[in-house]
Amino acid sequence: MLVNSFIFWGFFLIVLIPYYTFLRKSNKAQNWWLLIASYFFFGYSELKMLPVIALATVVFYFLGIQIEKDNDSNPKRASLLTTLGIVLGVGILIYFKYLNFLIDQFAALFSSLGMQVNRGAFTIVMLLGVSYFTFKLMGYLIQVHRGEIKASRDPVAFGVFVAFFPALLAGPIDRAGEFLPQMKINRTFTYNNMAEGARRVLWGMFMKMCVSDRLCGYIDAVFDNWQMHSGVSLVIASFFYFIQAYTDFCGYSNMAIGVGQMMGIKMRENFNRPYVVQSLTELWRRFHMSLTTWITDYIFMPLNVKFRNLGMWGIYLATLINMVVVGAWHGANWTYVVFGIYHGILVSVITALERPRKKFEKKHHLVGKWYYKYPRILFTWFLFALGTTIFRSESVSAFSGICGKILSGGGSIFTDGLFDALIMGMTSFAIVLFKDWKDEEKKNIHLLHSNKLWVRILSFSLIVVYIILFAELDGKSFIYYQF
Amino acid sequence: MMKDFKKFLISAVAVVGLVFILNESLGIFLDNKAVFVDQQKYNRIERATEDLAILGASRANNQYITNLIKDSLGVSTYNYGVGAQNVYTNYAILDLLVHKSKQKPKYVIWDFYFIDILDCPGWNTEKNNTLYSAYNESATVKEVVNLQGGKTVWLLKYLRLYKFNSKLPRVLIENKIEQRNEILGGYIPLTVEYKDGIEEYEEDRTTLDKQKLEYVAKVFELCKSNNIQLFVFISPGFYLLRDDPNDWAKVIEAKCKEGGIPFFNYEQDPYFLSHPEWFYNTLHLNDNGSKEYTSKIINDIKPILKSE
Repeated sequence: MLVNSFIFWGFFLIVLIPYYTFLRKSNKAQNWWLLIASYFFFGYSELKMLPVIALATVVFYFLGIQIEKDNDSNPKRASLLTTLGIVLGVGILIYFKYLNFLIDQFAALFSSLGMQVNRGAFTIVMLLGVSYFTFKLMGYLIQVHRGEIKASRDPVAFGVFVAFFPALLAGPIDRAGEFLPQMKINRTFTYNNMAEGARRVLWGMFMKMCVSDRLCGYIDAVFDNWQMHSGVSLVIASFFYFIQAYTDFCGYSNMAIGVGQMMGIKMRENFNRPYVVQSLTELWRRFHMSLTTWITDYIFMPLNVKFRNLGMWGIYLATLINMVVVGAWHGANWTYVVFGIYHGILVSVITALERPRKKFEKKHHLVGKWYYKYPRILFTWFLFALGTTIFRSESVSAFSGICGKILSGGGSIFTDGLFDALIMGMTSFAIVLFKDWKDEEKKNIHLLHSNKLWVRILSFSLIVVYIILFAELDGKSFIYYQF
Repeated sequence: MMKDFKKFLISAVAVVGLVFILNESLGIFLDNKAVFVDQQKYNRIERATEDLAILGASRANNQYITNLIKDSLGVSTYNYGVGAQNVYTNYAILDLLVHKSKQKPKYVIWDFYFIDILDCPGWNTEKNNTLYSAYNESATVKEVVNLQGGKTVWLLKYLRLYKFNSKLPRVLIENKIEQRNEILGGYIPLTVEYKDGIEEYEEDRTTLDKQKLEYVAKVFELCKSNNIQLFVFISPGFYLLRDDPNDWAKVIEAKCKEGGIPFFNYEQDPYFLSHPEWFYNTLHLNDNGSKEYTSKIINDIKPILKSE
């Protein structure tokens, strides 16, 4: 059930009406309703896996309570239970996401050693949303163990936190400390929540359907048969994928956050204008923020402390591990690991060069100068686009083949779908970029957020008409559903 | 809460109202003004009198030189190839040609490719959107468009603007090129030369699409019942195919044989494979290659045309 499909909006309306009418006086009733809706939503997408999420929720709920009890009385056991929870979370993740890959790798290894390996027909079905809810659960236990939050004593609210349907399949990865307190109060219908939620949803649809889905046809046609395409076509497709990586996922996040807001629930922000920044480190601070902050808090920081004796090299090592985890989180393929290593090295190098760069900028009065700023933004695009090309390639050898083709240069341009992608996709992306730029620069241009109601209504209506005319209305699923 | 609800309701009604007004007014304007290449092809069907019609996707559109066929065979010809289309659109165009043209064609050349017979996500019924502008022209076009499912039908029924979805950039550019289209008989030449080397190409060419097969049979049947001589061609590609026991080409070849339809397969023709300069990219010949290829197909169909 895609968030931008008719069926989803029918489902959402069925959830919303009772939520704000006869259930509105009791937060507990609203929570129950959200839990039922979320489980229905998940079951609709992946019925066989419903017991997995339910069981994981129950186990982590009781683990949280026990860890909180043991924090003071038996800290050793609290640590042990936290470790057990993390092992369990990682175990679920490995089983449903990486096991097929690991079996294949071992089979290939043994085969290369000359041993007969029968891979058989054993295949595990990947569980949708597994990367998101396991991270929520593990983050919850760590927070309880660290004493940052109290363990939840409300199993229904906790269940909603784990399975909240707008965020179930592709995040954002919410934190219990922010989410659970909202479950304790009645959510009432407010104009601001509904209007702002609707605006977020509309803008998300714009990003997804007018940009991402418009470019998708060309990207898939070129990358899926990269051997048949020229270096020029591959460069175009790589640049389009760089745009798609942002607009597809940010579009989804906007829709998910908007739907949450329409139900009076504030979710974590996932993007903060990542393509108008001047360095890769800054871009990573603003891209898929709910994941990167999670990994920073629970992996990078502890590693940083652990490696403090190594000085700056400790920071670089922690950064490298951090980025490899970010990469590997996306799935079972070496390309994701290479993607992580690539970014780990780049971010480390940029960190190492930060001091001399600042000195240079100061000496030459470059800060804020357009001729310094915009080339830096473009260079950041280039670095990130190279990373997304690794990410999109089906294998590391395919990536090296793609690079070989690009470096050999020239060739004819594959044109099927290019016209639509260039005219409609790129025009729409220019609109997205303009909005990001004016928000970043704090320009006083407001359309959807104007103070005047008629401007807001007119802008909203024009975007709807734009979507009717230019969106790909039969678009594909969201990229991040597969992670 | 009621106050907020009322405010939200009023805003929502205002948005719906404004979208309705914009949809109707812009829709009426575009209905009268917007013409683009695909639509030009559908529009001209009403006045079509050509004896030979060429059907297919871009590989038809860019590779069959209408005027060369016309001059060599003395048969009036028009190229109805529409980029990225498959069997569904070909069937709809053929049906329009049979039922709506001034004079139905005597011969049809169908440039066939795997997208016409295999299940290719992204290249199935979703490609039928080029037919939206002809949605009300015939029951067959409606039938073909409706294969996309209830949402499309609903959108076409209630949103006047929907049939112009994705079409406006083409309207801006292609309004001007109808004349060129008529001069070249619907053929669009590609001029660039392919520079890369040849690749060995492995593709999943095994998942036959049952619905597409049904529509292949419908095309055959429509030609047969209207005494139209059909020729099926697979045009050259600049790639090397690995052996595939379930090759889709063998399936269509067998179907053609069964129906007594002349079938010619140039996909891996060594003559074209030895001339990369005749290609625009791996899937399309350029204008020079198209001249060679069109000459070949003229030689193929000439004896059959003569014998009639």
